[in-house]
Amino acid sequence: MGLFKAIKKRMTNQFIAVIVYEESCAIKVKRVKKTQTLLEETKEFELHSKERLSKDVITYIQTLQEDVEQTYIVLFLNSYGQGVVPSCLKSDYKKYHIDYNNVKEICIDKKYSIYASLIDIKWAEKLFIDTGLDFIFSPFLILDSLIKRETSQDKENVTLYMMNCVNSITVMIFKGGRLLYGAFINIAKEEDLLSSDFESEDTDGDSLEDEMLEEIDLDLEMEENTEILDILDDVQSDEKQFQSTHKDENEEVVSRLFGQDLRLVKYFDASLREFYENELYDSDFITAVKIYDSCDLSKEVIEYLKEQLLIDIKRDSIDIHDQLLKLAMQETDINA
Amino acid sequence: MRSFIKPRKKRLLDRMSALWLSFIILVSIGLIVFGVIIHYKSSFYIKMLDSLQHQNATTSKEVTNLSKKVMLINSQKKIYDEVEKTNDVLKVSMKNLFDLIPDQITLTSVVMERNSLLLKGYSISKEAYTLLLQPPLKSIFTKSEVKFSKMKDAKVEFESFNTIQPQKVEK
Repeated sequence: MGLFKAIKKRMTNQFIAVIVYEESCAIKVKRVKKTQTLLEETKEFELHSKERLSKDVITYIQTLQEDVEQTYIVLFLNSYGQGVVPSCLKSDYKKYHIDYNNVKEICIDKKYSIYASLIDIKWAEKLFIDTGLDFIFSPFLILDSLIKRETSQDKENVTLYMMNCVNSITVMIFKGGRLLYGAFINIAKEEDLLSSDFESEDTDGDSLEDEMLEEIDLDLEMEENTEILDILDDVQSDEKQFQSTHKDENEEVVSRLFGQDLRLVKYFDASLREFYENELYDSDFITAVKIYDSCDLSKEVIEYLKEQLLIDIKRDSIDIHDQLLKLAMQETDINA
Repeated sequence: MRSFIKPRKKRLLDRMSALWLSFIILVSIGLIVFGVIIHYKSSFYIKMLDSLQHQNATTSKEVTNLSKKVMLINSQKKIYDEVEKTNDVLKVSMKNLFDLIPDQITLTSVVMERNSLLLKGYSISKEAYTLLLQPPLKSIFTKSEVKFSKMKDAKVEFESFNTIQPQKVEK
């Protein structure tokens, strides 16, 4: 096996990262030999349906495969049937109402596990039946690898990490190295589960904040943490100020949002509410936010998030394709 | 493994190259096998040649030994023949000699050598000897000497020494 790997490393290897959106398909190709990159190309194709790759895509991938024998096709899984569970135990899946037998799970660092429904994995395999498929990576895995690269990880900080892709957002909340909550949201379409009128959502948002503060109050009674009490006081006083001034600004910001951006903030709020309200999650007050942005979040959205979370937001630009390629190379033990 | 599926198994070479490579490998394996067989056969023949040469050497040694033996046996046979011949001659001579001796003469001792004959005995009279024995002895031997001595009972004891000159071989 060692010989096989050694030979493989010296050969030309090709990685094709594919992201399938509702009406398009973005492909990035990277051809490497030893440590040298021979080819790097990004292409976008139109799709008629998410159920089937167009002929152009199949022909393009097949032509690439004909050129290089060692071709790995990587898919970014952006379907609904996936998520993350803050445990690797089978028994905990039941707690989160997930049918363990119908999902494929991957344990990460023995701390938490990411899963995808077998139906979605089959869908992906069926989608690539003409070309073959080598890797299906979860957005949580990409976000996890990005988080691991962070140099400053405060153990006490509760950090919300968000990865923003063209049609989806992935949210993970960590306290130190421990995962508290994770959600993947497809924002391409309006979903019944989370959909509600944004006006009411907005008022919900207010009540959510109140609840959030109440919850923290309770926590404080138990923990007698004066430090957080101070922060809370600040937050509460800030809140009062926001109620008078920022609320208007927030509404103003929201009024400027439309389409996908609107859905993004709406779903983001909903998932945050889920984190705070659902007893299954070990909710805590978020003290830092980091956004990995792959498609230039609009200023309005960032502004809205800042107002909503009352903390400064750090933002990094990333390329999902590059992350997919990097993961595939790590999996195949090829470094370029 | 952090992917939801396992990557497909990859071939190291494309189909055509794999075909070529397997062909080349097969041919080289065939050649190697052929070479090995040839090597073994040749070494086998070399060994056989060696053993044959060795066998040849021992056989030729045996042959010389045997020929030596044959020569020895031949010479022994020759000697035997000669001895037999001589014995035959001797037998005849003895027979002849005993035939020569008349009844009046009794021999007590006969010493027969290659060129001489010593006869000891007694005769009823000196004349009997000279008449009956002397002539044949003289005809056989070139020289015949006789000594007489008288015995108590009127008999005569004689001692005859006869020699024969060896014939000169003409060159």
